[in-house]
Amino acid sequence: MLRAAVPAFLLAAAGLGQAPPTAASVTEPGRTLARPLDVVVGSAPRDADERTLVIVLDPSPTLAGAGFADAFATAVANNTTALKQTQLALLVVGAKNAAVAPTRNHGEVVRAIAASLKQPSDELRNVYATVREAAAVLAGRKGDRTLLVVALENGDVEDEVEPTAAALQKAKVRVEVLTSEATLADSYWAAHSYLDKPRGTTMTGADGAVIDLPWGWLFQYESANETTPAGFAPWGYSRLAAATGGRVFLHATNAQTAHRCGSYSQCLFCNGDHTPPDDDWNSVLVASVAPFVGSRDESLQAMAKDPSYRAMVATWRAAAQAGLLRSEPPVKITGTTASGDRPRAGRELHLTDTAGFARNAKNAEQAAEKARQLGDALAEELARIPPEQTTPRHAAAAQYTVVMLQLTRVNLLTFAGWCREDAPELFDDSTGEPLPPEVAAIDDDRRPVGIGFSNLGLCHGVKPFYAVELPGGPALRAELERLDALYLGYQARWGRSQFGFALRHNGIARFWPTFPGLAGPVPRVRPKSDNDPKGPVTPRRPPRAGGGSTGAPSGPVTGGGE
Amino acid sequence: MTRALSPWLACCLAVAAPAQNPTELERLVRDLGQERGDASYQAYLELSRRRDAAAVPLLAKGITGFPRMGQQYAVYLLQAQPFETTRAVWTKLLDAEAPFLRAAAAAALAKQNERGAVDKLAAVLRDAAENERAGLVFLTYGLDTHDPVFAALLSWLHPGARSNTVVAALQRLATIEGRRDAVRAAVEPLATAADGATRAAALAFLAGFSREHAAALTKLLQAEPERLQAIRYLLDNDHKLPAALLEVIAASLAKATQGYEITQTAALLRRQGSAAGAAHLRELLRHEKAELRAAALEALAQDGGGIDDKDLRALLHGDDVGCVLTAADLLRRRDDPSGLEAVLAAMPKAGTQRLQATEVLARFRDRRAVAPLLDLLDDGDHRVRSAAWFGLQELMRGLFPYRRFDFEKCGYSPESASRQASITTLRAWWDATNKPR
Repeated sequence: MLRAAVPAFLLAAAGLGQAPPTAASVTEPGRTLARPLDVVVGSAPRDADERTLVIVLDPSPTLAGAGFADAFATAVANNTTALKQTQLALLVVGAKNAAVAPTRNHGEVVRAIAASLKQPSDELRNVYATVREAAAVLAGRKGDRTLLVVALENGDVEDEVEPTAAALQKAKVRVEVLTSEATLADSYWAAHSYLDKPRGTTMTGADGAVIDLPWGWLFQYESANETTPAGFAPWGYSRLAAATGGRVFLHATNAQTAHRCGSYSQCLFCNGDHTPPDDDWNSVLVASVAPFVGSRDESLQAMAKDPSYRAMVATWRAAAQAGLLRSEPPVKITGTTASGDRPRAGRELHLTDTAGFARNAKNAEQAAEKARQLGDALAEELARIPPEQTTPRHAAAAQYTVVMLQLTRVNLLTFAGWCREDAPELFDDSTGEPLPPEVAAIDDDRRPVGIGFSNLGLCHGVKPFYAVELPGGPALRAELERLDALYLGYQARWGRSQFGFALRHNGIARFWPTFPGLAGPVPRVRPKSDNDPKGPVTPRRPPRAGGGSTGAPSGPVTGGGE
Repeated sequence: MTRALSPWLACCLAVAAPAQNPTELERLVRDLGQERGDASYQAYLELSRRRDAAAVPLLAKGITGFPRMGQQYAVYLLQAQPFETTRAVWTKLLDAEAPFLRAAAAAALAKQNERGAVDKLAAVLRDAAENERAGLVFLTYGLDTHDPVFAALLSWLHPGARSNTVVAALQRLATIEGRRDAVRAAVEPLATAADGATRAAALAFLAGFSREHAAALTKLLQAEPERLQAIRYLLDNDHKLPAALLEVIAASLAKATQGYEITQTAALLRRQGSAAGAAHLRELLRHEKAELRAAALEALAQDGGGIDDKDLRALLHGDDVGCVLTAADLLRRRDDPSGLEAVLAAMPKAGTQRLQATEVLARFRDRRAVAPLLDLLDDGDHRVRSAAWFGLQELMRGLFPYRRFDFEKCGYSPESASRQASITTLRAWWDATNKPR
């Protein structure tokens, strides 16, 4: 169904010329283990009498926990006829040499897989290096050559994707991938570039060739780019499948599907019983906003021809330089061509570094004005772009940027209001004790050293905040109403997709004074994915785990997390 | 050993001191050991609410003399305490006479990776009498699945086993990844067991693996639909069930006598992607029992397309208070607060459904809910007062995220007979606060 839907979207973007295929063209529906294994293991050789099927296995704890060993054994047992002409082999990521050379003794491979998964590892490992080894193993084989990459993790450990694809093409190997869902425009590694990584690799993990959605917004504790399920695999895996005529199968467990209003934000409006109308993703919409899976260069060139993308990148850069974002776009655009750019950080406004409330309020108001100007300018520019000249993905990303600029403006004005009205009162000795059951908001008599914040999630929308007492007075109410209009418009168009999910995972900031103390790093939350026909669920990212999706009958309906 | 015994002795000494003049805590622990189930349960609820570490030595002293249910409550209470506080108690209980206490102790210690505990647990499970087994399974949840424990549970699956043992063991074994083939091999002989309940449990586990077993279960449930209740959880897994079996499961909705049966069966059908239950659920909307109507409505609302917002909004104008409340709550969960007016209007006529009405009302994060909740703080039913009190706290925290509250400061307790002063205090705060800033 997805395969049929994609050309229509690309035709709609005829103004973009010859665009590369998208991940929707290679991603199969469903989130189970059984179907992909039945499809791949049970395939008869194509145009040949014989077939060699090499399995590249990344023995992660997630894969072991998913029961892959049992599922593979079942697939082999259920497809004995198809496997009569097939030799199986096994390479294990992180182990040198083939664990099992090509053999008709399929039980040997089944046992070796079970043995590997008895000692899983959650280390970062280079799957691509093992794929290249597998290409070499397959190059000398007769007949149909298929490589099944089974790696629920490590899609973010990228290594020489194009040379790997070239080696596979030269060896005439078709790559089928069984993996878990990526995170939409995943910014985790861009934000944590100082962390260790395997030698020779680049840490990425987004669903697209580059991060194509602004991240690191001011006063957002949680980056939606780190928690929004993409509906598709990490770009590198999709790329290998696309380059070799293969397919991508996504996996997730049912345990990952419960809705959560946010990963790090607080929800003021429910006790976990929220069933948002947009929780069921629309598989056609999800497919329409799939990322390109051409080479990175091809993808960048296609993106640069998209006026929505160009406008968004320009606004992203300007917003970063105004201190509204802590990231700059990872591309340089000249005319209608683009190239990758080194990571650059946005300007730091230092609004929360000191307890100089009056000065902070003034600076915040200036930044809020800049957010309004940039948002208005981008909205005007997007309104002038004919729909047929832009892809849905980049239109969604650009419109997201408009809404996020207004949300950032709301947060800056909330901050300014808090600095002017609330914060001084907290330290004013003449302020009397509040009436019970209320107590003084702080009980620390030390001098504050800065300002902290958390987020009140937008999962229920903006309107419920009208009833909430927030700093900023009537002026803030007007800005909230403007945000509500933008939010509703965005969700009406993109709500049932990964982009709508991403917007809901931002929040209104809540501020407080901070005092000298200790702080520690927050663990990463991994993307979820669930294979539930109901669609997206809040993603969660425990270290090196999570991922996956429950297989919907109709495509990458994803959803995030556990 | 000495180190382990010291806290134990200290506990016993602590108990000895106030023995002549029983404290409230001592009375509660004593009630926990009563033969009368209701007294024991009420004591458990209160002790559970208090979660007082001072109860640990009292429980340690009394637990071996309690009846079985009291022992189970005591185990729950001990499990709720930090492990370091209870380690000595568990260690002592490893030598208890009752297998249940030995198993509980071994499981608690095994969860902390105490050496030898897994083997002790496996030994207790293996040797447990047939009529004890089903009641021991819950102790193994939350424990990494070690081979000896797995083997012990597997050994319970034999044609002579009691059906409740088979059901409980299969529920646990089905959660263990990577062992399904072993479990399946052990269960297959039970698919022809003479006892219908055992046969139903075995077929439920096997139905996802083979069409033959699914067909046999379909036939069994057609003849004996009441069997579904005990085996429903065993059907709820990743395996796709055949349509004929799902039809039979859906038909059981019409015979439901409790709301939870409808909720659970509908959830099973939903996860199977089956719409077979929709017609039965719609039929249940006219059932004479409000509980069943509400459960059916909620189940329909969970299904995409089962009942849409327009239908729910139409129910807000009906005479059935239960349906009004459920519909309003479902709409709220879907980000549509339009049911609040209907809930406010239904409050005076809620009658015996006041508790549900209070709970539904408190979930609206809306200032209009505050005044009625303040009124309900003085309701005649303590459950309503509790719901109003806890709902009010959530509501106030939600509406005023920049304020800090200490609700104990106003002195209100749903259990207290003198509530007026504290309600007046709360009203004063609300009157002073409920105006634009």
